Amino acid sequence: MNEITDNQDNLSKQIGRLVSQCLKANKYAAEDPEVSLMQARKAAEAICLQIFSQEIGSPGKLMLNDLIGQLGGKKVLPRRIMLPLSTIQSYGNYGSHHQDDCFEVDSEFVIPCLSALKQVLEWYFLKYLDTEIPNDIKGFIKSSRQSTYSEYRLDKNAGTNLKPVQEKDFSVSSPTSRHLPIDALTLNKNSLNLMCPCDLTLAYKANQMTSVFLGSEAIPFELYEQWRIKNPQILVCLIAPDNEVLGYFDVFPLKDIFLEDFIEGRLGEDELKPEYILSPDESIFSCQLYLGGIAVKSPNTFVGSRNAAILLWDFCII
Amino acid sequence: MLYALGSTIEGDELLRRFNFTVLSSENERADKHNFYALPFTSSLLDEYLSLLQDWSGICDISWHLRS
Repeated sequence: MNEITDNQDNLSKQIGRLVSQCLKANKYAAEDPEVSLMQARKAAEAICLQIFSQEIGSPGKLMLNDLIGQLGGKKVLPRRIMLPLSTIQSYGNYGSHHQDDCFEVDSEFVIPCLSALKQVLEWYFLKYLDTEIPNDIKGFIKSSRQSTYSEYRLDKNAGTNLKPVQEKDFSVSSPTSRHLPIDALTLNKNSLNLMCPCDLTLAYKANQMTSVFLGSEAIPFELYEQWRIKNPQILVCLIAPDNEVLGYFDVFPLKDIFLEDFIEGRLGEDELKPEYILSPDESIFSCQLYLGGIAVKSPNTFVGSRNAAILLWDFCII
Repeated sequence: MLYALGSTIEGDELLRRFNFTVLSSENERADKHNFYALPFTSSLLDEYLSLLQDWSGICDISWHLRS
């Protein structure tokens, strides 16, 4: 449990720093383009380090180039994302080191780098983490490359300093928001639902999830439905906005007559009959509860781990 | 008392991490799974809650919280 919490905290902090780096990359595109390139490179490095730690192990002192190469080699990064990452790395290196050509980096020069960063961020949040883009950088990511370029050109033609048109959308994250848990940054309020009692469809989906883990040992849905008719409150499902069941747990208030044989091992769970389950009214003062199961989709992913933490939390507050 | 059956390796690990103890072992049971128990109290649940992140900001709960 501590491990889950620690992982959540670490990722939360990493996302907070990443958001801050992206905001700075955008903010300094006009004021100090070389700083913008360095911040974009830092953001790319942060993403690669997080993915590397999650998928492969400790990255040690690997440089960004090696991180991209190894993640690509392990097929963790799709080729279409390796390309913009390499672009960011090249631009970042250019902005960080002395160049003999005396070319002055300006705001137009950084546009390809920021466009590449947007592609990487979109993939990272929507595909890799399977979550929403943090509100603070939504505007930055959703502004298209063409419109960003046009906005800079328009400003330049007007003879003013180059500034992002929607600067208010990219304001530097407050210190508080950097310490928010990841889901406060990436999920809207109440975007998930913990449902109890559940309807037939949700119960069926939860039962199907169990079959994935237990195979032939899973309780047949027909029997489970009999249990649920006796006490509709046994099942709690974690539901996504599109009604997908992300996970569940079920708890049974059992009668002593079954429990004694169950504890001794003479009876198994599949021999539980509806009459051995207390109804909601009967179970108010029950002190004997059986935790039937807890399961989440994709348990080895960040999202699966988060959903497991949500279910454990919910179990403790009911 | 809260009871649970360790039907998978992951389930066994999770129950042990929550300090469940084995009441009857897989060797002596017809279903060949360890059977666990945990004497749960309000203070124990509060202790666990203090270790878990509060997800109420992103989860809508369809029933009342315990008082």
